[in-house]
Amino acid sequence: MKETFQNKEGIQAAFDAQVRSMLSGASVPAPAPREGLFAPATVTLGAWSKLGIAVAVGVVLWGGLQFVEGDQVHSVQPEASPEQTAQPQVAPDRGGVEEAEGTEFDGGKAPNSLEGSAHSKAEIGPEESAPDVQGSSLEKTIETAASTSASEISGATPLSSAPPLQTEMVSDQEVEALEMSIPLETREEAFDSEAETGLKEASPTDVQTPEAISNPKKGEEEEEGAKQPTLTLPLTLPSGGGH
Amino acid sequence: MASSEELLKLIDGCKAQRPSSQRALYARFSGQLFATAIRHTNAREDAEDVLQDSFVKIFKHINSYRDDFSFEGWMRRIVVNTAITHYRRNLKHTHHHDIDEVHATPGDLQNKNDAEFTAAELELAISKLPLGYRTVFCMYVIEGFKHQEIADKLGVDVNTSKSQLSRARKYLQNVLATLSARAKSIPSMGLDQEVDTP
Repeated sequence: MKETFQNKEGIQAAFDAQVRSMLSGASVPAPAPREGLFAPATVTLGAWSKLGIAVAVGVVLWGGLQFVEGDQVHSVQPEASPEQTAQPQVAPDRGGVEEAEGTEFDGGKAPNSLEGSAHSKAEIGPEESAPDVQGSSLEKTIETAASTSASEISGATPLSSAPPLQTEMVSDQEVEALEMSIPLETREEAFDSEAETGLKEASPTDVQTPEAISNPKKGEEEEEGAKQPTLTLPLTLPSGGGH
Repeated sequence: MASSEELLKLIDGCKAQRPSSQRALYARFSGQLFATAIRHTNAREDAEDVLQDSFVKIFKHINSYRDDFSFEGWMRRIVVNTAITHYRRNLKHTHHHDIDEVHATPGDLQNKNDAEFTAAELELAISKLPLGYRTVFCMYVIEGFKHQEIADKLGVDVNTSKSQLSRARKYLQNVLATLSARAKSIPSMGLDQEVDTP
């Protein structure tokens, strides 16, 4: 029974193998391919061509926009150039004014007021501020001498309290008039008292709130007057140095 | 070796959707695949439709082909699946035949294993099988499907697949043995004149 079953399976397996070997490589003349059989390749080529056309159109548009923008830039540049050339003229003036302000207000406290004054001086113009800057070299030499002598005089007073020395708004003419009108002895006494009162009366609030600083519409006289306290020190200090 | 390299180039070209590679692939394999399609269809026109649809699928899904599998086997599976789809689509229009009804098995064939037949005779004998039997036989014997796969694809029971395979095999053995025996006795006789058509 088993032998017949195995024999039967063997016969079937041999038959299957024979059929497989004979038909697996069998070939029959095939019909011609349909026209649309290779269409997917053409479709993809069409898609690529569409993509290429889109890219080309985009490049052309982009190039056109770039060209138009370039024309606009070229047309705008001549208009902007005067402003650009004007700015360097203003900038040195401001710098000069700021330097002058720095010399004027060493103990400057309120930046807004300083900016306002700088702005006002910028409005005044370079022609007016330039002589001040040139004249400040002499003033600086005087100031340095005055500061050294003032430090010698003040001695016990700290430098932080030194700004009151600059606060007296006394013109040179007034000082000269005083010197000429007042006798020498009384002058020395007066100067001593002035120095003392000046040191006492001067306070940071007085320095911070001169209206001449924040008010830009005052004339040149006030500006010169604001600078003059630096000039008064050498005149007063030597007399004080006699002590 | 050179043919395998050439085949790989063809496959790469088809993956790149090159029409020249697709045409070359069609020229190279269309004959074999058409023979497979004929085995799984009833008419030549149906086989042509199956072949064209199969190549459309091959070109469309060739990127899913993996190198660890036979490319020819992969294509043949596509053809068989397409033929099965075609068969199931036309199933309601098909009149089912049973082998026992259409074929009178030759009597006692003592020399089945010694039967000598050509590939053309075998193809003709297979073509005489009813489509259901033929499909099961070709899927199992030639394409290497398992009964469960055949049952799943054809929508039949596994036992049905097994019984149809057994009957188809027995029928073919008898037919081919008869042909072989008669060819030995009468060499001039042809297959078409001798075998009863189902």
